[in-house]
Amino acid sequence: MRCKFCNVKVDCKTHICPLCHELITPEEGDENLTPAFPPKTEKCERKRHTHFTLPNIYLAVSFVIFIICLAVNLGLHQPTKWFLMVGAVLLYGFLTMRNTVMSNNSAWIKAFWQIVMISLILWLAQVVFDEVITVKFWLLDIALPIIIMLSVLTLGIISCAVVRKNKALLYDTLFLSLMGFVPIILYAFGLVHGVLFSAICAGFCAIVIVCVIIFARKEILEEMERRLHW
Amino acid sequence: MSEKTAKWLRLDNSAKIFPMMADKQNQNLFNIFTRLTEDVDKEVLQRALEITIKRFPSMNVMLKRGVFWFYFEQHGGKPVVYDADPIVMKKIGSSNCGGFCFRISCYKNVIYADFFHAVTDGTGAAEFFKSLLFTYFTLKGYPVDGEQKVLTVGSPVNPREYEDSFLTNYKKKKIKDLTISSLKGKKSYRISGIRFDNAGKGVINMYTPAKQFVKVCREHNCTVTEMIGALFMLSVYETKIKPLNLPPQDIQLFVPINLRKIFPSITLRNFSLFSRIGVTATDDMTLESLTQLIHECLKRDTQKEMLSDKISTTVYAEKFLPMRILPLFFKRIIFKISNLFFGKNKKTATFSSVGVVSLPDSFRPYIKDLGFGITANNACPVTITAATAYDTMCINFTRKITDTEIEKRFARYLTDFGIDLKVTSNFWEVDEDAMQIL
Repeated sequence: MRCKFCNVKVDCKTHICPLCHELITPEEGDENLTPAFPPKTEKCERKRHTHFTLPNIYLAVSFVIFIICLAVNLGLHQPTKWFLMVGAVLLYGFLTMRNTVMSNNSAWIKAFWQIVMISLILWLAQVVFDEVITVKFWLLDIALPIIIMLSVLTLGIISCAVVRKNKALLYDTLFLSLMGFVPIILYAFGLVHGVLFSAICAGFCAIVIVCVIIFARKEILEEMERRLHW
Repeated sequence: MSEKTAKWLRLDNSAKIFPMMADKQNQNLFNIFTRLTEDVDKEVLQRALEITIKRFPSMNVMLKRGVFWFYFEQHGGKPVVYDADPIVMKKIGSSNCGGFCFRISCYKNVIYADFFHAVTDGTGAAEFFKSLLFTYFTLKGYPVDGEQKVLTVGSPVNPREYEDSFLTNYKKKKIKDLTISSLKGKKSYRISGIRFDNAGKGVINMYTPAKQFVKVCREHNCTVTEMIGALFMLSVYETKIKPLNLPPQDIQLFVPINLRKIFPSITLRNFSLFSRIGVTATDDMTLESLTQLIHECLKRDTQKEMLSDKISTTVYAEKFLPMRILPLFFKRIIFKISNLFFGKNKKTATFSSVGVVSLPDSFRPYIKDLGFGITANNACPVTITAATAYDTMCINFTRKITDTEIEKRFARYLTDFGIDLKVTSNFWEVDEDAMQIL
């Protein structure tokens, strides 16, 4: 096919000139021309305009739940503002979906954010249910060390299970284990009042670090070399 | 490949910047495509890809995030041949390319190979693509021969193929001796137009007999690169600046220079720098004056001393202690902010002249033509690439704007010279319903 306006031969299946968009008429022997590019598809168009993604649906449903809880809580004049906890848990679910489940971040970064988010939820619980909870300083004294230990334990078990396929998880476990010393450091600065759980947490994480170094020293050094190269 | 590099690779000097600049919409991509004389056998291509990738350890990698820099880790999986997406040079991500930094796809008789610039440049990609075609043709049972132009699967891997040639050609200099000013650009005209409201790009390929084009270039006493660059600058001026009566604007072309031709290197990773070719667009511009200008700029920017200084400057920036110890997160922020304020508006378009892609003669019965393309984005909405395979030159325009005025004007210049042009397009600017009616 030839465009008489542009004086060029059009080398793909079409009825219009790619340059001037004027109509062109097929000539003899043009039947064998194949499209040079995949055509625009309806599926492709639809994909670009869809807003019905899982996080968006979750966000919409969460918003409805939160509004209902807010209305019930305030409507019944209840003294405890428990709707805040509902909101926090729903927000936690959303952030977990985005930053843990659907994220490509390293395992230790995901675990780190989980610890931060869960700690914030517990802090909010302490504020909201202040009158119900009688134990003082439980968040930093008890909850934080336990959360860190559970995180390290979970990641440690996973990395042991998949060590042959993914040695990088050992490095993540090692890095996360360093967080185990946070409560004891906080204790040193007077922010934590009871030493028991902080000491247990530090001891547990120290054991994990030693074990990882003993059993996977080579892998850890390799992983550190590639991740920390500068 | 040594034991150490088998597991991970540092990004080369040039590649370090690409992952940092990538965001949800933009990524430095380029592609190679070829139209075969018959439809592609996807299963055979898949097998060919699985075999070929083993010969190219620097391609068989996935991008990972370190504390200070990105790095490549050896990929344990197999690359997959995809059905070509209507969106040309769609972003390469871990979800749609299996973690690889390239994507092979096919549609009817066309094979596309999209590459993220972090993994290689045009020369490295061409070598990989030639090897893939060789394996494909061999598996199809065609009587092809590498003719020492193809890195065949059985050939030994030279460690120099995956070296960082910037480092090997780096000469340590004091900061006062570095030519930082040569890397800076000045504010230039940015091509205007209505942007596509989606991730797609418009692509127009112009195929022309190489001999005809070279003949016209000889008549004008210039090279193919100079001719295309000059015609493109004229087209931009006449379609975008002159009709709007804009005050004098600087048109700046960003032209990659293949350093392998100047420095001893056989690397398949990035080894190219760029030349900025700028002119203040006025009515006085002529084809002759522009070809002369491009000639002088390229001559200046391809001097070994000059390039050696540029290499030293870029490597110095990488080795600069505060830069090295800055965590990746902060590096990315700094790069993005500096690009936001200083990077944009520094070029009108990217023009890459790949030259002649040396294909074995035995491929000739099976290949119709071959071309290169560079992705366009909002900052640089039009890119132009020229590559020649056998007797056919393919001039590729990739754009992020709907109108095709520049291409139309460019084609008019060529046809006025008496050059035969064949044109293809993906018609991204045309509404699908309108296409059906027509």
